[in-house]
Amino acid sequence: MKNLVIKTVNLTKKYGDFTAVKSLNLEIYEGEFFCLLGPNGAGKTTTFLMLLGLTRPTYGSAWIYGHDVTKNPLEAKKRVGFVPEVPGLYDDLTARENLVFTAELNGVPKGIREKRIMDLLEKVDLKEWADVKVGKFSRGMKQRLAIADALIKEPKVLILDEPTAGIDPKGSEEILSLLEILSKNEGITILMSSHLLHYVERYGDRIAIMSRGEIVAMGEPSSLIKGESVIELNLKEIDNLLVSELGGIKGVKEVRREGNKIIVLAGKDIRKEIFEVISRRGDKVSGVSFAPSLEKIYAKYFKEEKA
Amino acid sequence: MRATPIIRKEVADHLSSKRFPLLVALILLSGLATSYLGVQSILQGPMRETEQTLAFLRLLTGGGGSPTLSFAYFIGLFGPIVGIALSFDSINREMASGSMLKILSNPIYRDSVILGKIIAGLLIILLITFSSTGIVVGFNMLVAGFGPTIEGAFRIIYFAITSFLYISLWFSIGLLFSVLFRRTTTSALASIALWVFLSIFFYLIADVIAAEISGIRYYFPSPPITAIIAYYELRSAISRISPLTLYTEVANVLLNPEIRTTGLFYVYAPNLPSPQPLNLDMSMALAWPSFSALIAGFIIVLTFSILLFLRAEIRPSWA
Ligand SMILES: Nc1ncnc2c1ncn2[C@@H]1O[C@H](COP(=O)(O)OP(=O)(O)OP(=O)(O)O)[C@@H](O)[C@H]1O
Ligand SMILES: [Mg+2]
Repeated sequence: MKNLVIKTVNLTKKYGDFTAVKSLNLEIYEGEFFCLLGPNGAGKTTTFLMLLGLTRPTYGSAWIYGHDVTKNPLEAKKRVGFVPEVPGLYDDLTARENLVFTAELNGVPKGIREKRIMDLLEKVDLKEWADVKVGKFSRGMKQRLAIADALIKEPKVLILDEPTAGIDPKGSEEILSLLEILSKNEGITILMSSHLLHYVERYGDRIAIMSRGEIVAMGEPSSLIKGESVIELNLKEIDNLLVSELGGIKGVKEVRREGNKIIVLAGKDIRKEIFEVISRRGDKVSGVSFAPSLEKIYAKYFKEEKA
Repeated sequence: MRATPIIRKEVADHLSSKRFPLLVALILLSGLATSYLGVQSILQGPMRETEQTLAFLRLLTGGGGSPTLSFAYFIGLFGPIVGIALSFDSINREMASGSMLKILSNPIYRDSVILGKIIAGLLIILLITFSSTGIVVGFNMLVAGFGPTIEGAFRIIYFAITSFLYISLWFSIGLLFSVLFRRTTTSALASIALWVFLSIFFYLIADVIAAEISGIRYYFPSPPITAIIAYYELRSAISRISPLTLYTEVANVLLNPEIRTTGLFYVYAPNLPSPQPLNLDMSMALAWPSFSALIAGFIIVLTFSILLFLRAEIRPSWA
């Protein structure tokens, strides 16, 4: 059994009558790449702030490597690097100056500071930008610098709040593959929140979907996909018979028509059965997608959120 | 100490900011200009040594020429701007930009953060008050051709300490507003409004209130003397709520040994020996109530801002 790194028991945060995080029970193990998915206002940021001892839980507790974060926030903060939603770097300082300041805050000895900073800048591919003011950086560069900044203390855990928000696909890939390297090669435990499902599916070891302060689904990406699957068929023509035939397949929960599309929601993987129906009938299928059902699960909660 | 990196960064930020040279120029130029005028008007003809000492000190308060054109007057007026400029955005700017959250995600206590900012700000104020007083006094010595006595030098040092305290009080007011208001424009406006209110309008208000309470609503026929005295005493008591009044009183008492009271009356009878200038201890005793009121104000406002900051809800971004 791997070491428990983050543990929460009934962690709850209320703002007045409003419950932002509801009785959260999380266990994250050493070396895991854990992703927290959730629509706006789900309570992801609030959870992170509580884990860092920056916001007091209303009830419940959280531990980082066994240290109670409300009683001993400094012990938690020594071990956790945090990359906030907004990087919070100083635009009027250079990349290096920003990191020097953080190194000072963490009491990194002077002798090794310079080397550590340059190594980190190299790791996040900003070495040539060391002496450029951060105000000139693109969002993606700022985000990478923020990751370097969080790594200055040589943390065992990295918590990142939507590190790819507002960053283009290429920049997002760069950030996520950097995180993957940190996770695989250096064994850093990663807890990250995101909206980007397809990335999360690829990189996360475990995923939790959060909605209105509660975790509504949690597991490995493959197990979540097994739970429910969705097939989208693009057809030249659609007749109602096809809809009802598809609806008759065992395990199908719902069949929906959307223009030229048929969307089949099922409790298991029913690709084979669907193809049997179609090939028997000879429908003209112009496109098929086996949608990552996670997205649909997510979309479901997203919709509930809006409703 | 955990606050050291914060202090270092804040001091560097202040010194390299665009505000800093402006603030120093504001204080220094007004100080030099007024003392030049003062030297011209006071130092006419030869003087005895005791007269020289008094005259030299008076250069700082403009006792000879116009009292409104003096170094002490300009610190009284612009000192608050210096204090406010150093603090009005120090907390809310970092809250809004998210850098506060980032700082606090590192192993440092919240009180170290605000203490670091306070210490850095006070160091800068110390630097500004003592260097500008030093430069102005040196300039006066150069132009006048003589300097203060030892006692006079001490009076000037205490005056500089008072200026430091006065500007620090306004620094703490700016800091309080920077914790209280999320937007830097709001905290700037609130600080400036309070400065205008306490430094300019407050005298009018004190006057109106005192007149109302003491029942003086007419000047002819002359009201009874007791009512007039009550009115003046009330007015000066009320106006002591303004830091400017307190500062002016302390500065005047320290720099004018001939001032024997901060109130209306000094009891004197013809058969007593003629009044001599006060020695330093006596002047300090006279200035003490106002001086300690400045200290009290400073500590109270500062404590409030620290407590509010410690309780403030930290969010990713305030804006
Ligand atoms: N200080 C506060 N006072 C009142 N309500 C708050 C406060 N902070 C957060 N909330 C509410 O708590 C809920 C959870 O907010 P939180 O920021 O944790 O969500 P999130 O999942 O991070 O969302 P996003 O994707 O928008 O970042 C939101 O509805 C928010 O409005
Ligand atoms: Mg958030």
